[in-house]
Amino acid sequence: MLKKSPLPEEVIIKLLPELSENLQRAIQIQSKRIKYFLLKYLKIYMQDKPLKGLVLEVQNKKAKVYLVDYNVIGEVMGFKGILNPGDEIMVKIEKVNPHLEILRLKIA
Amino acid sequence: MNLESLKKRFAEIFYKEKIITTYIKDIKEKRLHLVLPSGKEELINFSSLVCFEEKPTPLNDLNQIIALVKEKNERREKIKDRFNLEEIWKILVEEVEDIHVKDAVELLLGRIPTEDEIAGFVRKALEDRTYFRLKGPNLLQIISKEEVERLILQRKKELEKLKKLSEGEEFIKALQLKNIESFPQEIIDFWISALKEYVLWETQTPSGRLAYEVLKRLNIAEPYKVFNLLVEAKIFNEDENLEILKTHYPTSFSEKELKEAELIAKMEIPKEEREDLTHLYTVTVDAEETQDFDDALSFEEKEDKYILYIHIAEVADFLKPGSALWEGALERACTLYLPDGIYPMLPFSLSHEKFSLKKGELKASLTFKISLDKSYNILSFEPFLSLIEVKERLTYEKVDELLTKDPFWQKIYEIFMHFKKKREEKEFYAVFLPEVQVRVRPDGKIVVKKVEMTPSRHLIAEAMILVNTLAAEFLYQNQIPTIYRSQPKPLEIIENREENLYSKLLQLKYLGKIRITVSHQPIILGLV
Repeated sequence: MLKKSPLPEEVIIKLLPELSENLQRAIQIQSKRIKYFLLKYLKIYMQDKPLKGLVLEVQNKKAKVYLVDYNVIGEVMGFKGILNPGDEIMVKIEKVNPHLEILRLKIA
Repeated sequence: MNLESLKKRFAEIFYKEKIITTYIKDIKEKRLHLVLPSGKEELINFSSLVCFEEKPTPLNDLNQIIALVKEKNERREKIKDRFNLEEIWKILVEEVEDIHVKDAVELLLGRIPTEDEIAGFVRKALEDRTYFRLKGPNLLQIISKEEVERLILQRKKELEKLKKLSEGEEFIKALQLKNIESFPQEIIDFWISALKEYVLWETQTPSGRLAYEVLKRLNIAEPYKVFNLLVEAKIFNEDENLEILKTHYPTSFSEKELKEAELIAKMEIPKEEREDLTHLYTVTVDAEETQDFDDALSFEEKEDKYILYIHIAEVADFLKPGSALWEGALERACTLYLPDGIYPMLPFSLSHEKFSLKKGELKASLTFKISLDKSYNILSFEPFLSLIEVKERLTYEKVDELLTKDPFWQKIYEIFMHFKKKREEKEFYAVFLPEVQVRVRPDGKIVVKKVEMTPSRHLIAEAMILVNTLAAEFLYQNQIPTIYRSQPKPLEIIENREENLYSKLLQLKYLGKIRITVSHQPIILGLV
């Protein structure tokens, strides 16, 4: 139908591990780069501004919070009161370091 | 050995990584009660004993003992440098395996040595550690020729390393002061490269390990601190893409790749093997900023059926296995769309020109023709090579606008939503979250935009899901070897996952890892 002969299966099998690894590398580069500039953006423009957060996980006095408008997860440490997964909260940036991928938040 | 016989003798002992003179005041079990040159008295294990004087010197006055110990200690320290160890070792190594210290010194001096000379010699021999080793008190082992050669070589290397480390220390200090101009270029290149390697791979490379040793001495061993140092020295850019460097991702094309690309760019499209679809109203639908167009869409409404055409830019006909471009594409695996730039899988002349379905240009395409009856049942699916010409380059925003008023687009949307509904009725776990686009403008300003899934985006997403699913089925049924990209069922299924953002995120957490295989795997998008 395509009037072309396909690549033999053994050729594909041979190149698959390398391709798979290279694909993973590309995805990793992409996601790390996006995160870097996203955190840099938050550092430059969003310090001291209230941000919409969604609590994902709570363990002891440490909560993972998803920033709804930025598709990135930060940490709230040592908060007062009770937080539960699913809670919608307002947070502010406490510390952000794009190079070290640190995003520490505090309850606004 | 009768330890009691050691009493009241001056002796040399290992003390705090040094050899010092002491006076054995007494013996307490296996421990020596010693008077040190500092005047202190300590109980030290017998195993620290290096050598002792031949005759005891009975003394009772502690002040006199301290004075003598101090005096002897200083004298022996001065004497030790008179001895040429290699000279005596050369003679002894051929003859014996071990020797009493006194005999060795006597042989070297040609006369009976003094106690200070014996102690000085032993100090020198044990500090040097190349020719002699302590076998027991007053007894030296003569190190073999082979071992001495190895030790000399090792010492030489250690010395070179120490030299290199202090060179590195000086260089990094100068770098901190932004004052490296006085260093020879070779040294600058070496240490800059070592520091870069340390930032990227820490101690996984020999140069990185060397840099670490220097940085540790200077108390700045955290890679982030070193990165900042290199930024300040303008060796790294503040936004340096370390991940690309770390993983050796190819950021440019080789001459061979560019040459091949040039030839391909000039190649005519072989028209005889392709179906001419240039008469169709074909469009591309992409984001405003898209520069390379790899898929397009056509639609025809016939009396008794609908025909959807999904066209993919046809690269395979031009890219030959084994060519530099083929190998390079495999290495890159995909085009990298980064906030601060694009790294295409193929050179721009191909990815953004020859293989980009640009408006008004004749292009080679792989077309998937899907015929549907009026109830949207699939009548046929047919992939073939084609020639197309894109009539319009539309944006998602434009298609969203058309969807509010244009029956042509409303029909296409209805068809794809029919397939979406069908998927939703089956097992379907796709999670749609608003995409957050991050771009760096040429002036360096970062722009963050939240992109919601509008109807036009859903339409294109569904078109791709449908065509990929049908193509996978087609390849599987016709036993055509290929690579399938699939995702296993989620580890956990969240009920009502579309209800709120939290449930969506929770479901996302449990989605299986995407894998690529040569075998046909179940997919979770719900069409098969």
